[in-house]
Amino acid sequence: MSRLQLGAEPTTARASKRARRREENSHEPGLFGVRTWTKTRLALACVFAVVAVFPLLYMVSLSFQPTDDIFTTHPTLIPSHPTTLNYVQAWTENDFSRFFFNSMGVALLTVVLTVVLASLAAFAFARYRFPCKELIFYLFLAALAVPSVDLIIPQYILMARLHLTNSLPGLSLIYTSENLPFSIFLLRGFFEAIPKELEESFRLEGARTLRVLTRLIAPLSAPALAVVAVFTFNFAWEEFVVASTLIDKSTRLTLPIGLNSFIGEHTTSWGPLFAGSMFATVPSILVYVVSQRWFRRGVSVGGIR
Amino acid sequence: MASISLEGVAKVYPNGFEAVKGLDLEIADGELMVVVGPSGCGKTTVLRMVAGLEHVSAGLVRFGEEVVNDLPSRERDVAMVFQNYALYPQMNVADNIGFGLRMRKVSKQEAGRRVKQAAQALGLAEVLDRRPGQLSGGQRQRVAMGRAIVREPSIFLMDEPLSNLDAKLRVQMRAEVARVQRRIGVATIYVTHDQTEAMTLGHRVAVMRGGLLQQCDTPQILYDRPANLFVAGFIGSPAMNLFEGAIATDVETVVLGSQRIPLTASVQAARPGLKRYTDQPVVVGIRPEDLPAANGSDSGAVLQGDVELVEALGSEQLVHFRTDARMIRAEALDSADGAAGTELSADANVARVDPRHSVSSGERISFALATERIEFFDPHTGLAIWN
Repeated sequence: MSRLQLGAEPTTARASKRARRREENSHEPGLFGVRTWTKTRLALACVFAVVAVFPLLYMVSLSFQPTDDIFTTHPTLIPSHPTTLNYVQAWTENDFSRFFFNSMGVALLTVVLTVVLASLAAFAFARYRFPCKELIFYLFLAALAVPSVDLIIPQYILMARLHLTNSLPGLSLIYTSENLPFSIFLLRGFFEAIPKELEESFRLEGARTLRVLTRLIAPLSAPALAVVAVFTFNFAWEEFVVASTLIDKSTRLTLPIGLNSFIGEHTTSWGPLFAGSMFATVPSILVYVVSQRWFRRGVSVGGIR
Repeated sequence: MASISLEGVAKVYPNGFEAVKGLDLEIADGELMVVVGPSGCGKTTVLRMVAGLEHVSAGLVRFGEEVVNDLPSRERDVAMVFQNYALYPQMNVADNIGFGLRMRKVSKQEAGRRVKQAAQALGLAEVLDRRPGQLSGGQRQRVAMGRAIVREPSIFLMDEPLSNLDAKLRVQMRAEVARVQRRIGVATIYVTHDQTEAMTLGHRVAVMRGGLLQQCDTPQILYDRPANLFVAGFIGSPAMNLFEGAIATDVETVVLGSQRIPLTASVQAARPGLKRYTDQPVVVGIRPEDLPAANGSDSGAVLQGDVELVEALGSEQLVHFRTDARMIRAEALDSADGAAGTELSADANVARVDPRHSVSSGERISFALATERIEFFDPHTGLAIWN
């Protein structure tokens, strides 16, 4: 009996919401009773979607076209002579596959480091009392205001002294440090919203802090952690300036720098460049698609609301 | 299994606020002690200090003979039911109940058996695979209870566990709580602001106010012999009627406005301290049920009043009346110093009258007063006058 009632409640609420919306819309004149404002918003959304997606689609199209077709005077979105040669060339020439896996390694290590360190720091800010807590937190936030370009020389000197130039883990450390302030800010807001009683109950049941973090805070903060992971992955995956400063050994190059190798002094291999760009873009999109369920919730209810 | 002993326990927060001041309290093994008081009286802080969730600023907390002040909460073997239940939203009911067992490395088989047993005892067998968000308020409350009892703790703590339930469910769950506590038979502290819960559940009841313990005794003694004005006003519903009065020179009468109530020899003998108050003001307390409507044949003491309102409840009538004696009410929400202050109240006095007795608003009514049931309090200290 109670199961039926419980199950019925949300359905009824949703149904009545839909009915209310239908009723509101029915008062509006116009095509199919849809509000004019809604139609305008829909049209604007379509325009923005086209503007955002078109370059990507065009890149996909060009990556499947032979060089002659790329430079035609009548460009087309659908390739007239589709080929996968650009992909073969991009993957096999210039050690591109190595760059791909270098970037993947750096991005994944950065994500792991950022998620772990930001979670620990945000948990401390959210739950513990310690001297100068807010001051330290605002210092972290202040780091967001410093343009990352300004930090390149100090970062280079620091990494050189630590013998971490031309080191992919070293690159990850820099990326982690750049991602920590925002991640801590986001996660602190999320952690603070978790009722303290849950944590206290966990502790009374016998859990230590690490267990509280991994078994309680992390599962409940999945949306926020997804936001941090996606932002961090994309940052580390596409970063160019720091990587080109710290890395000059050809076997340690990352994908964005590797892509640059298709651009020669006199000629540019446009077909392989677009195919390489596809290799660079697809993981970012995949990461977002896989985590979008949590990502959207995280962005809407986290500290950046 | 262990007793709980609080010796001079105090809690001072970093901002200087003293939530609990020198509390001494003993809870025997198997006893259900209810800590009751208005909001901000420090009762939840006491519970949290016993649980190890708050640092103890001064004094000792003992479980049996062991001082546990510095023992982390996870090592205290304490189970607690929180006001908002604190169920883990990411786990289903079975995992919620069994979590503590997994933490204590109880085998999967044994944990499963105990979870099922607890679920059956609490009527949760049908919902073991549901998440907390899919449960009703009563079911959530039972899951919280199940989680607390399944690992057979040495000490059981409950922080206003029924306050989020509707009135009907609260009565039902109150009996459930008493049954569960009897079954597990461990020292239990139950915090509430509801004096009805306190009176019905507690083996003993500790009344707190402003961080200070006002009185700790069995519910009946609290009701019959309140130690001070605050307890007198707090325990009982409707509250005790409090009047400003004076003891006459001969100690044989108490003056309430223009009325003189004779005090019998037995009253004077039971309260020798009244002699110190001759010709001085006292606060006179009379419970509503000690004011039955007088019929013509009553020869004892009578108190007269003007009826303002009659509430017919079926089994009784609550008659709101006024006399020309000044009314006094013990403050419920008072200053943090814990002094049993008093204030004038605009509320009328209340008497419980037999429903067959015809009473109507505006009429003058006489109540047959059982003088041996009258309480006397010092108007300055608020303390009951006995010896």
